[in-house]
This record gives sequence, C-alpha cells and structure tokens, in this order.
Amino acid sequence: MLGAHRERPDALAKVSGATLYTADVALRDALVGMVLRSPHPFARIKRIDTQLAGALPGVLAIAHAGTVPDKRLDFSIKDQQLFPKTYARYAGEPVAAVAAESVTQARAALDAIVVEYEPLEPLLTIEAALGANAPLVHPDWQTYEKSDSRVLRGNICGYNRIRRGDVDAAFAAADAVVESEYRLAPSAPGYIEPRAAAARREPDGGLTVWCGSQSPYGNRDELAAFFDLDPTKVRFINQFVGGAFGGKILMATEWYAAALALQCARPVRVVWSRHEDQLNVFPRHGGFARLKSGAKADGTLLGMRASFFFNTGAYIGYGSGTALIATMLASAPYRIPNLDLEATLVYTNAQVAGPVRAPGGPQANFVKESHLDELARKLDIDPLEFRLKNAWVDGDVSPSGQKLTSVSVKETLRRAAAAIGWGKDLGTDRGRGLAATWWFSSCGGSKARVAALENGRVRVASGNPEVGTGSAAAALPIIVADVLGIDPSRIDMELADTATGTYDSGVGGSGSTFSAGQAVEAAAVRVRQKLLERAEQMLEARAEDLVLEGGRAFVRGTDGPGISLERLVQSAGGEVSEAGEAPELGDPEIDESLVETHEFAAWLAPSFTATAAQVEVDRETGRVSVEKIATAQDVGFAINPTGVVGQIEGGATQALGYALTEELKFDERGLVNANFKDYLLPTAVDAPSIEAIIVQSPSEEGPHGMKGAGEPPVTTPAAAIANAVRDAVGTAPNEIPMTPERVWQALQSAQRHSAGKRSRSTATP
Amino acid sequence: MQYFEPNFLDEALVLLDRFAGGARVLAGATRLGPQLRDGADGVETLLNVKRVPELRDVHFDGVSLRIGALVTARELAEDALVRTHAPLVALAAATVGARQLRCVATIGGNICSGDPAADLSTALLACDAVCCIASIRHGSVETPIDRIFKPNVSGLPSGELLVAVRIPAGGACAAYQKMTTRRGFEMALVAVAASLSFEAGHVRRARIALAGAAPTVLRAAGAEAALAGRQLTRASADAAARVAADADAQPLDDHRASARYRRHLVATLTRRALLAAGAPERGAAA
Amino acid sequence: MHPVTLYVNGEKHELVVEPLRSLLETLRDDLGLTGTKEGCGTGYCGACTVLVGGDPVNACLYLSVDADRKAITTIEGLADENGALHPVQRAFVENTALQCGFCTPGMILSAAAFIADDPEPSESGVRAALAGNLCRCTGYQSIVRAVLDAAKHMRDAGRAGERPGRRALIRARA
Repeated sequence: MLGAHRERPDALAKVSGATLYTADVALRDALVGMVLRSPHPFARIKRIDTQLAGALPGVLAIAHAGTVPDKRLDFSIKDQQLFPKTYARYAGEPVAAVAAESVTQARAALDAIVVEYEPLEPLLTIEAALGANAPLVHPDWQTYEKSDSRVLRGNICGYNRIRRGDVDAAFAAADAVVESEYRLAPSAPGYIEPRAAAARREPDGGLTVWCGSQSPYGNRDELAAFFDLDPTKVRFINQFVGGAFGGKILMATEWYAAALALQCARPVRVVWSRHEDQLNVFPRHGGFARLKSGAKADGTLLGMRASFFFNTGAYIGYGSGTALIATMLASAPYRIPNLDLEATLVYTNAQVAGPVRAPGGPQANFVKESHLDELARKLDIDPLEFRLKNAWVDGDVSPSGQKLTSVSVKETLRRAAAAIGWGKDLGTDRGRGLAATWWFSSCGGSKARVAALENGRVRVASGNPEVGTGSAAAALPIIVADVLGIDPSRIDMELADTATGTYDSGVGGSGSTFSAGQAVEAAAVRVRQKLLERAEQMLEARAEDLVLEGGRAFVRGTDGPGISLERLVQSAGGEVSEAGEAPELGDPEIDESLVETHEFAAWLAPSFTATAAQVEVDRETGRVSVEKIATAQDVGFAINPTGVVGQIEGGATQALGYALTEELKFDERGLVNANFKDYLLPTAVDAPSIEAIIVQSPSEEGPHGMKGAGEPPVTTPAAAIANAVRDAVGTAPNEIPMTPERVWQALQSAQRHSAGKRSRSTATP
Repeated sequence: MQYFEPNFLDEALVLLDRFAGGARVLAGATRLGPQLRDGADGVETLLNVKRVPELRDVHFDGVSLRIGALVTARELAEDALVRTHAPLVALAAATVGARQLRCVATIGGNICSGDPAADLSTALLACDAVCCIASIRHGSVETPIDRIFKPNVSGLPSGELLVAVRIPAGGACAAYQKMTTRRGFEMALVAVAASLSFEAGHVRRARIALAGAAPTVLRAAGAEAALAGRQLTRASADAAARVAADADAQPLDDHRASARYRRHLVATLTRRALLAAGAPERGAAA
Repeated sequence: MHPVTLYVNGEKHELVVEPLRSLLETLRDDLGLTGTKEGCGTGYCGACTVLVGGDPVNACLYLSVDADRKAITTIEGLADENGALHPVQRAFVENTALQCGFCTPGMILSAAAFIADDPEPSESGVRAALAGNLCRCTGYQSIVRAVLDAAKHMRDAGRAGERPGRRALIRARA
C-alpha cells in the first residue's frame, strides 16, 4: 500500500468538472462584496465618507476602519489593522468594502465612497527605506507590540545572524576569494484560482465562512478573536483549493466577506478578479544579497560572509520566515567552518511579502549556488567535484550547530548529475549546472478521526485542507488503508470543516503528510486495535496471530475466510471510531551561541535536494531554453510516490518561471503587471523535460521515516539553471529573473570585460 | 448602450454613420470586450458585424488575395489560399497568442488595435497590403495599410468600416521572426516580417516590417533600400539589419524591455528573417 | 437585452443576455455549469476554455451573443451519452495529470479538440497546442503524457479524428 503509485481519489470529480471551488458554491441570496483600494503607495487617510455610498440602491453594507473593531491583526509585529485608519501604506491596499445586490451596484457604491488622502513620499525600494533620514513606513513603530525577540529599527523589522569562527581570517588564508552581489525580483505564487470567500452571519450570533484556505482552523481562531465572536460558533467550511503555494495562508477575501456579512442578514460573496488578486497577492520576497567566500586551491571551503536584504513590504504579515530561512540556507549543505550570515527584513511601501512555497529557498539558493560556481571556476575545479568535496555527511553540523543525521547530500548530487549526463560533451552554447540545498519538515498540531462503518467503508476526518498536492486527498487515505488492510477506494475523506472536523495547523512548511499523516495513522491504529479485539473474540485467537488484510481479519498463515471488516464493526456496535493526533515533537538541539535573534535555527527531520539542469542559450537574443531538469529529492520515505513526483515536476516548472520570466513590476503608481498577460508564468512550451528522482534516507521523526516534500522542489532548479547558463556561455546574470535581456546584457558585459583584459595584456609593459 | 447586429454591409455602414464617434465595431471582442466591461467611456453603440457575409471571405482572383476583416488568425494560418499566395501572413498568424485566441482573433481586429506589436499588422505591412474601407461618406476606398497605423490611434475614423484586406499575390520568400520573453503566448517584444523577391540572383524588392520597435508597426524603409539590387548574403543581410536597427527603429524603454535591447533585437531578427526568407532562392542558386 | 439560443452539451437554452455578457458568465451564472472556471478574465490562462463548434475558445472573452445557435461543449458535456469518460479524461486520471484541478476542465477540452485535429501528435505539438492553458501545479509533463496516451488510445480504438462533445453536436443538429 505505502509506496505504490496510485490514482488520486479526487481525480474523477476534477476531470468531470464536478469539484466545487469557493466561487462555485451555490449560495441563495448572496450579495456581491467588493473592495476599494488606495491608489497611493503611501498616504495619510484624512477622512472616509460613506454616506453617499450607503444611500445608493441595493447597497446593504459598507465596512471600513470605523465599522470594525479597532484592533491590530495578530502577527509577530502588531503593525496592521483590518482596514487602515491613519495611513494607507501600499498602492492597492484595501481601505473599504461594500456589499450590494449586483456588481453594478457594488461598483457604483465604491465610486461613491469619498476618501480624502494626503499623498506622502513613498519608499519604493530597500535602498530608499534604509537611507539615512529615510521617512518611516511605520512612524509609530515604537508603540507596536511584538511577540518575539525581533529587531525593530527604523524601517528594519527583522534581523538575524549566524556566526561561527573568523571569516576574515579564513579569507586571508584562502587561495581564492570571490565577492558578488545579486538582485532578486519579487514574484507571485501564481495559483490559477483567484481568491474568493463567502460569509454569512448566523442567527446564533456566529458566522459561517466558505473559502479555500491553507489553514482554516488558524483562520477561524483569528477571525473569531478579532470580531469578538465565540469561536465555537464560527465555522470555516474549506472547499477544494485551486492552488495556494503559500499565498492562501493569510486571510484576504475572508476578512472582507466576514466584515460585510456581520452587518447584514444575507451571505456576502467576495470573488476577486485576477487583477485584484495580483494587487493584493502576498509575493515571494525580492531584495538583494552580497556574498563573499574563500576556499583553498584544492577546493576546501574555508569561510563565507553573506548579507541578505529582503523587501517585506508594508506590513510584516508572515514575512519573517524568509529572512530566518535565508541564513540557514546561505552556506548549506556544505561544510564551511567560518561563517558570518545575516538577513534583514525591510519595510517599504509595497505589497506585503509572504511565505510563498519555500520562503527564502529559491532566493538563497540562486545566490549561493551561483556564487559557489564562480568560486569553483576560479579554482578550475569541476562544479560537481567542488560540491561533493564540501558536502555534508552524517555527523556534520548545520550552520546553527545542529548535528545532522540521515544526510544524503552526496547521493542527491550524484544522482541528479548522472541523470543529466554530467561530464558528457554538449557542444557550443549548451551547458549544465548544479545546485543543492537542505530543507526542514514541519509537524504542526494535527488531529484526526477514523471511523470504520458497518457498510465496510471508512470515514476519515482530518483538518488538513486539500490544496492540490494530494496530501489530504491521496496520501492520508493510503496511510489509513495500509493500517486497516483495505483498499484506499473504501475510504471517504471529509474536507476540512471546522464545525465537524478535527484541528489541523494547516498546509505549509512541508508538513501536511508529516503531521496529518501521523494523526490519521494514530487514529487508524486505535481502530485496528479495536477491530482485532473483536476478531480475537470471534475467531478465538490471540491478537498477535491475527492479520488485517484485504478487508478482513484472519489468523496468519491460515486459509479460512476470516471475518470481514463489516462484520467486525457490526459486532462492535455498528461503528468503530477513534481519534488520533500528531505527536508534539521537540526541536533538535542547536548551539545557541552561534545565532542572534533567530527563531528558526533548529530544523526538524531535514531533507536534502539537488537539481541538475541542462540549457541551451541563444547568445544573440539571450533566450535560455531549458532542455531538462533532473531533481533528486530525499523524502525519507515516499508514502505516495505519485504525489512526490507531482511535487517535483510542478516545483521544477515553478522554479523555471522564477528563473527566467516571472517578475512583479512596480512603478511609482504601484503594480504594473496585475494580470497574467504581463506576469509570465511558464506555459507548456516553456516547461522542460523533468526527471524526478526519489531518494529515501529515512528520518527518525517522520511517519515511516518520511521527510517533508512539498517545498524542496522549488528550491534548487532556478540556481541550477543559472549555473547551466554560466556553463554554456561563460557568464550568467546576477539578477533574477534571468530574462533574455539580462542574459544578453551579461554577455555584453563579459565581452567588454574580456576585451578590456585583452587590450591590457597586449599593451607593452 | 445600444447594440446592433447588422445582417448586411449597407446596414452596418448606415448604423456606423448615424452613431459616428460613439460607435464601436465588435469583431473577436478579445480586446474591446474586457475594456468595455471595465468601463464604457463614451461608447454608446456597439455594432456586432459577425453576420455580415462579405467580412468572412477569402478570395483569390489571380492577381491579389482578398481577406475579409473577420477572418480569424487560425483560418489565416491554415487556409490553403493564404498559405499559397500570402505565406507571410500565414506564418505570422500562427504566432498570434495561443490556439484559443487564434480561433477568435480577427485580422480586422488586429489592424484596428493600433498595437505596435501586432503580428498580423506587421506581416501585412511587409506584403504591400491595401485596406478596403467602406463608409457612407466616401463609399469604398482602398488605402495602403501603412497609412492606417498612427501612434496612439486605434481603429478607423468614425463612420468607416474595414471590410477586407487585399494583398498582391506572391511572396514565397517570406519569414517572420518573433521574440518574446517566454517561449509562447505573448505579444512580441520585437518581431520582424520580411518578404523578398529576386531577379537574376539579386534582391529585386525587399519588404521589411517591424513590430515592437516604434510607437506603431512600421516599415524598415532604410533597410529595404539598403538591400534592393544586392545579392542576399550574410554580409548584406547584416548590413540591412544594422540600418533597420539604427535608422528605421524608434524603440522606447518600457517595463518589458529597454530601447537598447529592442534595437539589438531588430538587428538580430532582421538578419535572421532576411536569411530565412531568402533560403529558397539561395538554395535554388546553390 | 438580446435573445440568444445556446446549445450547450446537447441541450437547448433560450436566454436573454446583455450584449457584453461573456459566455463564461452565462454558463456559470445562468446555466449553473460551474465546471468552466475564471482564472484571469482576460484570455491569458485558458481555465475558461470551452468548445464552440468544436473549436477551443476562451469563454471569458467570447460573447454570449456570438454563441447564438452554436454548439457549445463544456467539461460537463464531454463524457458520452452513457456517461463514459472521454479518453482524454480517462487518461488524465490514469496519469495523474492534475493536482488542484482548477486548470483541468479547460486543459482537457483544449487537448480533446487538438487530438481530433491531429490524431497522431508529437510531444512538441501537444505542448504548442496547450500553450494557452496555464497550469501551476503539475509542470505539464504528466499532462503531455496523458494527451499522448489518449491519442494513442483513440487511434487503437478506431476513433482517430473523432470530434469531442459528439453528444452536443448530435443534439444540436437534431
């Protein structure tokens, strides 16, 4: 059962168009909810007047700062309100919302809301925000509550540092030192389903919310607390989600639907257009980074200094992770004795950056792997050999001093390189590149209930939402089926519904199967126990001699028919239902003296991933064609290999977009490409041939030894592509995305540089 | 907003004339539809001309190919008459958007979009195409297509309807080179349409049109002159390409690309288009 | 307001629509056929792909008035008269050519229309045909495999070139 390739249980409905996503849910009498957005990147809000709007026909509710509790949202820095009261801090920030009978009436109401803004000088770049005498995005930042040990300094809202040894001494002792700087553009999660939510006030004073969230339980708790509602009366009914990738953890449409619904008796539906979604999307952090590293002539890495600066936008939201993860990735997975790694989060008047799939991962890896390849080239050492020489092995320590076990860096590198044909001749303007990384697993809280029924079917309730990966829809049933000895087709998964389901901390951090899987397994094991107790009685045998297989219990090694699951359940009273929960796992030990204001320096059940890419570059246009991507990912144990392959293939193509074409562009008025015309996701023609290599080096903590698998697939392919470009044409842009123009510019610079060198060398001394 | 579905050309012209500046013609609606749904802005009358039969024809009379304004990009890419007598148009049509868009985007809509990166407009410019325009005021008039494209102007003057495009037959030596950021489904950053005719091994006439290199699609007249009368070689193609890039193109910086890079693309793609267009001739000569 | 007659999946619907009402809005809101999705509303993602007269179009751009008296096939109408999945649908299930499923209806319709035109496609041909259907989850490889599988299945079953949504086309002609 475990480890076999299976069809997805939700596939039939999806190919038939029968699956319901949030905008498909039929709601009688629903009002149309729409949002009014600030046109200014930075402005004082002097006054909002909704009188005119409220008098218009068909307008039943208007929400703004004055109509919702005067509270701040519960983030690690309490810097944000639901609707801004005093300052609008980014172009597109929602300042009010209306509910009306029709789209036309809602639009008329939005037009009739009077907002008096006093535009202020915006801070549109990190450099501007860090400048001496720069105005503050949050003039009152000193009054903000914050929940952890973070730094708040002017426009700096996060800082962490990892230090070991003496990097300057290491550079002095090195035979080669390379210093480089990189720029990273922000990018979008790119889910195809725009955000949508509906809410309805209930007669008992509660609220029902329909949405497609990654974390309905967390959302429910936050919403209830904000609106002072009894959380047991707030119900989040999660629908199937049309892709999330970290962009649907924080609420957006849910907030506005709720704020409006609480003012009227009818449901309010807020469905965003792609344009609106892009304006309020939580981007992957952009920014820049400086790296310096040194090695001996034989390739041994001696030291690295790295500084990352991330543009986190107008509010902190869930942006902290990127900076914490970047420093943990900057030198990994390589053995470097002297380190000085820091990352800074900076407020600007831009969209709120968020935890897009593998936050900090593609960014840090592009930077670090490009940089290491430059160093390898300077030393004239093959990039694969260079990496293998310095790669972690069992017993090495992480940047924060965590002892590493079940390390598979070399295996993933070797297998990815072999799959791409590393070392074989390629011809002009074609090249290959490598990148390697590590990642963490997550085990947030998760509870489940498994019920075996009289009709032979098994009902499983897990609060883990199905956002597309198949963790909830496919992997969880496989786990339960394996324990109970039945075919997964006999399992009915209940979608996350906070009223009837069980708690789960949500999809994110590569932890769905890891945590929810353990919860359902624990519950299934208890059900199995109860069933075997019945079987013991009915077969007059001992439990240890019994097996549950093929839907029945029988004595091991015998031929008899045994007893069917249905009869066991019948005899147990008609239903056997048990609860289970994921274990609370402690953090691995680290060396606290190495880290400064770092809340995420201990990584649970770490995984290792390497990618090899092969490209062809058109020197004249700068166009990079990715021919093949081979990713070897250590998942510990693949409970659902079909799902893992899907993650690797999808992640490779997302990373290709990140590498070559995706960029959220801003000018002084805000987001320029708020659409899918100019925000360029990879099409089927762009996508390469992808080879997914599953490596299984089991963890101690994960169910059946698994390691979290959802995020690693996007972490290394962009870096591998950059290195492949460098291999093909001798240089690569230090800026991402590596658009054709940037590749062409890099080639031009390299030509000028080498022409300069040539002319110098031919000059008579 | 008023809406009409005229069944005949005359009916359409009368309506266009009566409602003048506030009227818009709906073809594939791929641009106009979303624009109008966002806000009508002075548009009071919509004329859906898809029932007018003359607008769908493709007809070859032995001398020129006449293509109705409502012929779609997909039809242009696949139609035997177009592929034979105006292969450059078929080549360009195959690059428009993706399949779904090609099934509804029309040649008339492409011309009237005024988009400086429009593929069909660029190809037509390099085909010496003539626009057949009808109106109550002026009757039926033929205008060379390069007079249609003006910066920041889309559509025809009020009261006028683009009925068809007429292309002189020929142009077997044709090529269309289009550069975009990703590998499909995107408006051109820069594109070059080239059509060559040869006599005794020399270029008798060159037509080169540029997309994405100026405020409108435009002919690279300087490059054409540089090539006329010469043999087509790598060197002469290069030289013409340089003229196209340095003299003919007037690119601007925008969020998609810099003017400098666009100029470079003009040079590269012009050279490639010329050599590709001339390949049958060079192959025959070799 | 303008009267139109739409033949959707073989059923006749007489409606009155605003001239600018897209086919997508009519299908979803007036006919309750929510299988066709809005991903971008501007013809750049393909999630709204439906077949009109067998041709793939973006329903978000296609005007309902232009669909008058035309045979329209949505994802709900792809299975045959007996409810058997179209070979492309079956191949998507067998090859796990989907994850979140949001792009899937449009992707399947595009693919089905394509292999009717090109019953023995190459991989690059499949990719080019699907360039107008964005997928963010799968990376396209499993989708391409499924389409090639479906095409082979249809050739082997003597169904090469069969137009999808036969049910719709048959009843529309009746």
